[in-house]
Amino acid sequence: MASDRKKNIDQLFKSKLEDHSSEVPPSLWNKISTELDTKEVEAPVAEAPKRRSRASWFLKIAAGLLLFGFVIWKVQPEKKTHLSKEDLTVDQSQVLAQRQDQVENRDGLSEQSDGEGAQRDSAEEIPLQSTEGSRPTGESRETRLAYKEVGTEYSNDIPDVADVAPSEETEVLYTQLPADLSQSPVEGVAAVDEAVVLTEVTDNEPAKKESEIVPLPDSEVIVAGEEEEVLANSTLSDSYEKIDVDEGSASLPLRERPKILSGVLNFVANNLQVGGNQIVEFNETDQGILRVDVKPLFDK
Amino acid sequence: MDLDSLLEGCINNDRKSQEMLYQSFAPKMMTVCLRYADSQYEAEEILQLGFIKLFNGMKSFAGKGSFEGWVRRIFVNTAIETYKKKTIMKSFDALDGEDQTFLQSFDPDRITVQELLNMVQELPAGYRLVFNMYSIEGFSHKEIAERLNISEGASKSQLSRARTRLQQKIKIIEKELNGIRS
Repeated sequence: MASDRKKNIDQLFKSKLEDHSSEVPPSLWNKISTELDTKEVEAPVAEAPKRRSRASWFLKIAAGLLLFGFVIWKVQPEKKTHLSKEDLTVDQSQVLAQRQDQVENRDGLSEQSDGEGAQRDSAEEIPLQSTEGSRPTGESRETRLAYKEVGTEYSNDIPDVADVAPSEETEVLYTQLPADLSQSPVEGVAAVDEAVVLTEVTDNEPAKKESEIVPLPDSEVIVAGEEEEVLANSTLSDSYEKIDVDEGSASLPLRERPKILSGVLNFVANNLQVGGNQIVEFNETDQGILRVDVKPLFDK
Repeated sequence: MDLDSLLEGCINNDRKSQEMLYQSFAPKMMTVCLRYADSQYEAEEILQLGFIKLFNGMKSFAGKGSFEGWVRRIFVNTAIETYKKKTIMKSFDALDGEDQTFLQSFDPDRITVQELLNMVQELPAGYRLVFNMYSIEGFSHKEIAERLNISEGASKSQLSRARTRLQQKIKIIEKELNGIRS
């Protein structure tokens, strides 16, 4: 009996309530409609792309770091082999020997260059040593890239360089001309024959133009005299023609490295970075030190 | 407009189709909501929630079975979820109190639907929920226990108490009706 009663009451409610319709307040549809409107605008758009961009962001950073590491690894060791002291001295002596063959005033020039070499070294090394510990001291003035600052007066001499020393060595010498050449010309200037390229920097004006940097892949540049003389082999001549006349960088640090490495890295970093904000920036100092600036990632 | 094209319109977020669907289902679903809710206000809330869910989930209607059954399930589920959010199931003791009394001479037609609905609404929330699910929607005690995270015994107990309460109320109404007649 009890179960009957239960069924009874269940049945009663079910039959009466199951399909019963109740009055709905007319305003309710408007509420639903507006809610549907707002959801259409907000909801479906976001979420998915966010995750994807996050993942790709990490991927890009990782790729950038890999590339960066590879470049550093690739670049560093070569530099060091070229910077070893013995190599440099050998190179220089060889170059000097070559030059001597072609120079008319052989004795005078060689003496002068030998004699003044030491002086120049001492003058030149100060900036180098202070910034780059690994740089060899003494006579080494080489780097892998050469650039020149060519004085106006000597620009005519440039084509002549082609006749000079044949390039037997693949190394590129990096030369620099001190500022005070014009003011205090040394013996060497006069003594140098046509093959010797004299470069000069005038220090009249403050440097507005940076001296142009020319990578000289096959060329040799010899620093023969105290500060002024530069021997370049034949392949230099083309490069020289492109060199702008430097009007006044004498008072500045004369040596400026081509910022190729940092340029490439910046280019890569810019392309990898999301949203156009440059997060990582590379800067190369004149002494070849690479600086990496990382801007705050969550700046916003 | 037949149901298929109406559903198509709803899936494509056509507001007109949605309104038509709403108009045709809202009254029945309102009753469902009222059964589960303890007030008109709460019922309207459930109804609104249910329709939002319905329109957003329109694509998931497989087309098998009755559309109305599918819609009804959405509203029942919404009501259950609302209840679970709102109320902590309190004192679901597994005690099975047998219902002692039932009106012998009971004429269901003398009680209006509104009165029955009110009775259900006046039940304590836990009783009401189990009673609706078991007696009207046809869930088993096992299903109820799983859905509400309670024991089957607790479900049975709640149902039993709900019935007892309802019987008492029907009795009172019967008495009133008899009194009016005599």
